[in-house]
Amino acid sequence: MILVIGWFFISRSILMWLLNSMEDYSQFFSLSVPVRLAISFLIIGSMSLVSVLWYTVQDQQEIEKRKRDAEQLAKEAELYKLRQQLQPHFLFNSLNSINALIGSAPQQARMMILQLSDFLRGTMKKEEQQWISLEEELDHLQLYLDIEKVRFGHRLSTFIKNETIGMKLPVMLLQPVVENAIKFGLYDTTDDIQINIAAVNENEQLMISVSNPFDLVSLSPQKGLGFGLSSIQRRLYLLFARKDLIKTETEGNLFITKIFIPQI
Amino acid sequence: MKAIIIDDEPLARSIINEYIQSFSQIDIVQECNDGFEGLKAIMQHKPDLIFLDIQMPKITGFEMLELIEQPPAVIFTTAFDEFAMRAFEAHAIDYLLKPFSKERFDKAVNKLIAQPKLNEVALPALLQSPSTAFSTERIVVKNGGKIKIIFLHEILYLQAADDYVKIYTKEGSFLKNKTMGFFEATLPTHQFARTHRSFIINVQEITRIDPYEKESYLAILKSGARIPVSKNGYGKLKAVLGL
Repeated sequence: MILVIGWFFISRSILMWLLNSMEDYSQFFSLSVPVRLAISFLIIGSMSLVSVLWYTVQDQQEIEKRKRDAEQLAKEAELYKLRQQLQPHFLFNSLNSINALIGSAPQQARMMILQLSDFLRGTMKKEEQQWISLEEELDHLQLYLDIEKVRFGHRLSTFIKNETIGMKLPVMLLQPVVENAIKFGLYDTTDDIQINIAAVNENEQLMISVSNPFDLVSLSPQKGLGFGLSSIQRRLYLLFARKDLIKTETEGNLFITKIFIPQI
Repeated sequence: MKAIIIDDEPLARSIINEYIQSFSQIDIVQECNDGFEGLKAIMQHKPDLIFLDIQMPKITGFEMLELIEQPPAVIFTTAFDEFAMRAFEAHAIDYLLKPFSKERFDKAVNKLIAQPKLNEVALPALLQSPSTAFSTERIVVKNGGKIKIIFLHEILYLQAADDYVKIYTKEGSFLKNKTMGFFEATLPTHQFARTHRSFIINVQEITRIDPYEKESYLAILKSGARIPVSKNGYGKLKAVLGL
């Protein structure tokens, strides 16, 4: 309002000064005061309305962006935590095995240190990437399984079959599945056991199945998805917003975990 | 002195074997792969000392110890430091975190050599002390010569029986060398309620609760069993059921 009156008086005095000599014109000028007032009021009003709207939208976008950033950050933190599945006891038990080998079989001790180093380096490197090729992931898992083979002597054998070409998967997704298979298949049993990992292309989805035997006596049938697997389910949900990408089944004393990874 | 090593990893057993060489007075009489084998070996050899891993197939080291009336001296060897509290509550001679040095190992064994009677008072007491850091998922009992693992959902109710507790399941009842207080403290409180001085009930088994005598009740289980509920126990039961 003040702006309108201010503008009106300033323009009036400028025009008055310019049109001092022209009587008719200044008369018309005085007569059209209400109309011109209304017009200037409308112009300034709509301008301020537009600017108010514009700033509100800006603020809104800023808030939205911050919210999205916060959500993204929380999601990444959760994913990071879920990826941190490497169990410290695996590391300490491996070091204990190396300690034993140093006395009895120094060459083997050296080999195990190198395997463990390669495995740990691979694990750390992978923290930075989002997706890797299945071939790379399987090589990494082979290191892990080789270390377990040293720890448990001849009890563990593994069979890995990859029928896919050029498929990818999120980092550290398969690792916890295999760790889970080792936990129930190897740590909780006393017989010789075999762990099978098979990858196939199923309707352009990467399907990986991991099977391990388990001990029927000491494992509660009500257990369902162990902790390891429920965290994988959570990760798959965060990545793909789907809950049907992990399936488990039992066949006698075999436990089979299947994960499906859409290729994007 | 006779000793037994119980660990599911061959290399973990071999390092103990190597370290023990410097103790000429200690003989390793057997090495065992799991708790079942360990139990048999302990019965057979009556060792003075056992080296015991905790996380093993079939039953854990703790569960194995519970099944022995007169446990030998125990040195725990494990990569898990979260069990240390429980191990010391069990008054173990020592607790070796893998990997451990020869010096650390010697220190543990020397404790026993210096004080061979150390464990006689300690262990039985330990096995009755409920640990706050530990919640039971299953109960391991001896049934004749066999070992039976009872999962909590299989339990109908528990009844005090002198120095033992009788655990009732659909398959029959089993005796466990523990107190009612131990079970009251360790069983999950959302599933079990001590309804009476001598009874703990799995609340999921209850079909109805009938008034009995003055200020006391009877809980009728799905199996048809009728379990007394005291005035005090009725309060606890209502709390568990959220009434």
